[in-house]
Amino acid sequence: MSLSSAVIDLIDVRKAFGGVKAVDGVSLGVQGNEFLALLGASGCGKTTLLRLIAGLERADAGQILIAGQDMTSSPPHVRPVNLMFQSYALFPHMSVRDNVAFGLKQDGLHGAELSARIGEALALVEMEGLGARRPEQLSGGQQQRVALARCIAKRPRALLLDEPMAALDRALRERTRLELINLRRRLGISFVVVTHDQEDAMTMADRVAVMDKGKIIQLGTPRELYDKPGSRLVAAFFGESNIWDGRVAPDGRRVECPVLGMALKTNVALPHVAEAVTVSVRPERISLDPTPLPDDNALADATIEDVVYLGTVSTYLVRVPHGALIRVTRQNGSQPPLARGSRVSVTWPADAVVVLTS
Amino acid sequence: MSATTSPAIHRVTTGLPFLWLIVFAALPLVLIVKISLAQMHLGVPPYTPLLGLDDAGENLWRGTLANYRLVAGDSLYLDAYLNSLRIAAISTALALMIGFPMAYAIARAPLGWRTPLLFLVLLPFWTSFLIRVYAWIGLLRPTGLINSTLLWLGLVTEPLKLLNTEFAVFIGMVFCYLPYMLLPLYARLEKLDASLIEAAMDLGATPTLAFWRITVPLAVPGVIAGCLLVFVPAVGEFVIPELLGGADVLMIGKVLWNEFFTNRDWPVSAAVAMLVLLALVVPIATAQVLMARKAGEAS
Repeated sequence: MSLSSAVIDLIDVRKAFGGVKAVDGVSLGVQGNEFLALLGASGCGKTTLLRLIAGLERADAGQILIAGQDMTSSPPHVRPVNLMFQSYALFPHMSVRDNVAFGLKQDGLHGAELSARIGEALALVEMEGLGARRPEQLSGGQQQRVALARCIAKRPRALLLDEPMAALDRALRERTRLELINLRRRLGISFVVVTHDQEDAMTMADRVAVMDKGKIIQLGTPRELYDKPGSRLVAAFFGESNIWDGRVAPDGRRVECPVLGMALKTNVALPHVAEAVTVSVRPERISLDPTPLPDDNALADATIEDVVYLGTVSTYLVRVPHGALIRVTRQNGSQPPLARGSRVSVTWPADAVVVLTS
Repeated sequence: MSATTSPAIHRVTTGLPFLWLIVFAALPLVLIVKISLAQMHLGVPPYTPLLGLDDAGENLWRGTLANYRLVAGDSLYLDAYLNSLRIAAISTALALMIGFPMAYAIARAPLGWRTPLLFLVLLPFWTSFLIRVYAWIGLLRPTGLINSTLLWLGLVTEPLKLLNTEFAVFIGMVFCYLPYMLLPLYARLEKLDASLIEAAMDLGATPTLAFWRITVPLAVPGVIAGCLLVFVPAVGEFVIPELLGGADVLMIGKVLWNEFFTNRDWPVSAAVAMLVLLALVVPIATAQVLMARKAGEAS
């Protein structure tokens, strides 16, 4: 991570509330033109981290650089970033226009320039016609647009969004995701979004920082996190996964899994012999083909216990002789469906096996 | 009103308060209007009837507006009334200046502190109003606690005249009416979403500006309610100016008392009471109608 290209740089930032470590030594660089998601369950410290960047909380230790300047102890009103609150925090006693104007007036804008900037911001969120309305007269989705306009009107170096989808229904969520991606591209600034929804993070973000107990446990592109989760938590957070406990086999190249009754072949480097490890295999990497290739992991004499039809795919729950229940997804249409109770053999390639460190 | 409530219960629950208002507010008001149109009369009751029979046995209307003419014509009443308005307005402003920061501080205090702090504000209410006002006499009089302390410290050479001044009346008014100012302000400020202030600061406002542009405007309904709750009773206040203000402080409540108990002129004091009521109710009702209309436009 180079300092010059990062618009926000966090260096070993810490924050505790009454002895509870909300943010526990986070270092993170937000690049100048990226969509970064902070993903984690509630209470993992992601919102605190966002508020630390905005200046609404003071860090106990560490450094926060914004646009190359040390702003660790700067008050929020001087920081060139803006935060869209989860509740939107629109000023109820002001019209939509006045809400947008509020931040611009603090920058000393007035007259024609002020009007132009308000108009531009409202146009970006397609709210031009509703400037005279009060927040209470708007729908939830419209309120969110006004909150967005109020932030982007200030032309911040980075826009911080706290759970932007939390108050939206499912249909609006999907549309808003695409709109946020487009808006970020048009503005050419960084977005940092806090979310507990892996789908939000996966679909919108260029990079995702997964947080747990105040720490970033993995940072990467959505594909990296999905294909190579570093921990049980990340594997479970991103989609479905088969997770098994095991031990490194005496040959040092395979993992013995008691519930599968076999030693798994893998492509990745393993720790010392006999050390406990956890392995993960995505359900779509497993096939129910009767003829395994030589390098595949294969288990014969498995039974299909349940079939869940999901439209484009079906999920099969397959019981193997040593007791494990394996989740397998198959495309519908290209392959003939298998009935419950069928005897199958289960196979997956060595490179589908991901070894988790924790 | 929920659809499940039976009509009978509905009638009783809404009817009782109305009955209360009719018996204890509307009827006495009608009586006062009636007395204000009568003339003083030595006897029981100390006023003349409005309807009487003339020599021919015909019904005769004997009401008169003479009392109102008297009150309007004598500058004593107008002076007392204007002075009451002035003292009530200054007291209200002082109560607001003290009550707002207190309410704000309590509303921003940690959750566990708010109830004890509010309790402390309300604590004086547990003693009698009169005793609280008398207590101020003990503090303010020439040989009282304040003056003896000042003398002992050598800050003054002779006792300050604190009692029987307007200053003492302001102290009494603010002291007694502060909770009425503070509670509606607190109720309003406590509900205020803290993220609005944070949003204002995030958008570039200093904490001071955020306070004046966000906190204060959103507290306005509480300010109005608190000011009315202090101003209205303060205008007609009798006990505080009587005990702390002495003869120098002329207020309409005292005039009313004198007419009623000293002069035993019920009709004139009833006319004074009616005029005070009108002078207070008309502007306040107008303001409320205007505010309701504004609120109606907004939604």
